Amino acid sequence: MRIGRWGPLYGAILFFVAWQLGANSVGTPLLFPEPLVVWEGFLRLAETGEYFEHAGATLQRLAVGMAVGIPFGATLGCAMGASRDLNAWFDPYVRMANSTPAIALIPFALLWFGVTELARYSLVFYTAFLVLALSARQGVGQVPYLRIKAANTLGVTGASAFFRVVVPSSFPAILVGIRTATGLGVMVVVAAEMLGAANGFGYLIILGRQNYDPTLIFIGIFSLGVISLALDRGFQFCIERFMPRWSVKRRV
Amino acid sequence: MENDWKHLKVSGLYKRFDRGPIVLSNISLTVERGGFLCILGPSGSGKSTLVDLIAGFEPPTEGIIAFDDVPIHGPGPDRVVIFQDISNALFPWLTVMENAEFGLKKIYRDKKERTDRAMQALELVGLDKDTHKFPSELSGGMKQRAQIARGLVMDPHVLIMDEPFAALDAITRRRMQYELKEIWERTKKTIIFVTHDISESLILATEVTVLSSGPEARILDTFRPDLPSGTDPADAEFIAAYRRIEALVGHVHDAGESLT
Amino acid sequence: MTNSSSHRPYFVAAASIVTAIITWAFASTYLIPETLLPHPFDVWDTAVKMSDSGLLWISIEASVWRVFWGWVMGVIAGIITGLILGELRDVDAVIGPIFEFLKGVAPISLVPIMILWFGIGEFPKLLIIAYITWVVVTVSTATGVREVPNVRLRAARCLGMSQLEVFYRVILPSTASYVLVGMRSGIGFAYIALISAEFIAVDKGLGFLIMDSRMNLQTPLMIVGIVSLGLLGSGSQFIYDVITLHIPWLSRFRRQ
Repeated sequence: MRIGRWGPLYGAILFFVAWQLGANSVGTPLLFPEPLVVWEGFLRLAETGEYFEHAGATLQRLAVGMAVGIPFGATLGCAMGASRDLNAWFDPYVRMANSTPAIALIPFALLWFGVTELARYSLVFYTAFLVLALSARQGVGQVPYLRIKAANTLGVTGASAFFRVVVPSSFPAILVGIRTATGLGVMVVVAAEMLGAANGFGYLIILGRQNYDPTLIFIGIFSLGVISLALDRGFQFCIERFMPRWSVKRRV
Repeated sequence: MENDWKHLKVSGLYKRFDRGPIVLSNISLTVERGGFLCILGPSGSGKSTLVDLIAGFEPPTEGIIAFDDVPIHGPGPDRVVIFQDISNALFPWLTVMENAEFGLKKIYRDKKERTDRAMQALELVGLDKDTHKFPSELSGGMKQRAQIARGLVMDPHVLIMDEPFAALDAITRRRMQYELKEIWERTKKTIIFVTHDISESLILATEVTVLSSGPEARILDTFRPDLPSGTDPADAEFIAAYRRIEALVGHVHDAGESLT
Repeated sequence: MTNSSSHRPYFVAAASIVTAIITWAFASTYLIPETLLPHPFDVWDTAVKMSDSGLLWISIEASVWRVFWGWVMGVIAGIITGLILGELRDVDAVIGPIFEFLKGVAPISLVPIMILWFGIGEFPKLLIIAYITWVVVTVSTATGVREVPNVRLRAARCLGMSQLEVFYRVILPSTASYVLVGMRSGIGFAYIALISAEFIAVDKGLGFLIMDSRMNLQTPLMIVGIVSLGLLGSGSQFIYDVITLHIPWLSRFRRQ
């Protein structure tokens, strides 16, 4: 059997068929709406523009949190990778943060910042910062010592070697970190929206729950899945296209 | 499988994959029981494909591979292959002893018998003191010895060795060649040894078959070097044989084909 | 390397933590209101009180029970589907992409639907935890099956193994190391799912404790809850490591 490239198509068909069957078996649209019903609901939201308002809100929160978290996290990570002392100083907090997912901190953020955008931004920032710090630190640690020595023999030493050799060498790890942070970031944004927001897909899900309208819930869940997938694939695509030398497929 | 076979015969072998180019063309060779045949060829000459065919991993497009008159059917413990990629060929979750005993579970129900047979093979390759180690704890040479022991334990008709020492450093390789020759002399096993290294083939084999480079690799020549035992690569006879092979392969090179 | 320099990281870390606590105490007393940042002593007091009253232990017990059983169910289901996906290329071609999609669906987004369908009991919570673990373990297991080196399969055939024997004597053990890693990743995600479920389906458990304490502005309680959760999460992974790395029969499968 040569399924190959058609796999995702068959998969999608299978998915919707299974969905339809599931909805049929339950019977009432109050509990399990059919795919078509959800699609109609989506169209309605798209017409009024509401859908895009929600999409924009969710994406914006993700973008802001990551835009700040990534550079700061990567910087700390590189610094920790470079200096034993710095690493020893910050490692306890990194470990603690690692065991404490951002979701667990949502109430804390809401307490500090109220039900505001800042609370949501800070949570995404926390996630991105941590993931990038870990990735960057690992990336720096993985640079073959041989490569640093090679630079040294060419007359490039110390801080110069760090910025010209070590940091670029850790780029692939940082890129992987960005990818991971995106995935986790979406999870956090959703959670933050579900627990206190007035727009966004997470809010849509909660709205659906309050109004006993599962269609909204499904629209929210599905949109989030699509966004995650799109962001992930899009990111990979961009790397391949614009920065192929950093793609993880090539060993740097 | 009969136990009193005399020859492994390969006749008129052709191989192509699906509708691709012909990889091997009109390959015929005979391995005498107890002999040490070396198949020598450059990279891309289809040596690995030939191994796959004799081992039974791939069916021939045309031609026959048989022990006397009994054709082979698929892979089996009568033709055990020793692979080049030792890290992946050994089973990393099993100790040296467990690796060696692996194939015996089906044949011998008695644990003690399995352990004894495995131990015999391990002693032969010099790993009797390391039986409780895991492959990750062994050096390259030791890993290869473990693989050889695992193969010998099956008491195969033929041991097929696919460039087994290519991944080892030169010093270890020399030692392994020497030890392999001793093992061959002690066990009288039939060995088919595939390599691209002319010296290696002359050090080890009683008969050398030279393949041309691919595609459509064919046999350039088959001969017995007939070097006296204990011949050193510096000896005149060795150099003569070496030159002879070089000329063969060089001849092909002149014809414009690549000689990687 | 003298003794003192190899212990240096520990001294630095200790200094760091002491500095942090002192800063915390100072900030909470003079700079930041109590409701936002309680004094370390208050937090400690609360922790002790919660421990004595049993509230802490009840919450922990509820959470641990959920996350453990959810994780176990997810692991078992994940190994089965992972093996199927890894072995059967055609099934993988069709269902694999569905998994790619599922990976991006945050567990918390599924909580309302689960509650709608199954009510506010243990079942929906277990289901969500099991679900995310299932996805993670399936992907690792399938990868593990695919990564079994071809050479190894051939070596086994040479040694006389039939296809079935190759499966359970070579493929399964070779996959084991990937499965063990997947199970470990699953722990982290299981805790995220746990919190997600406990935040929304209010009941008992650490998640509920954290959420509830915000309503009552009992910040020390919240901090104790969050820290307990963190300790529980890393503690779980630690125990997992101890078991898989130190029981010889298991640790051999983490070798490559």
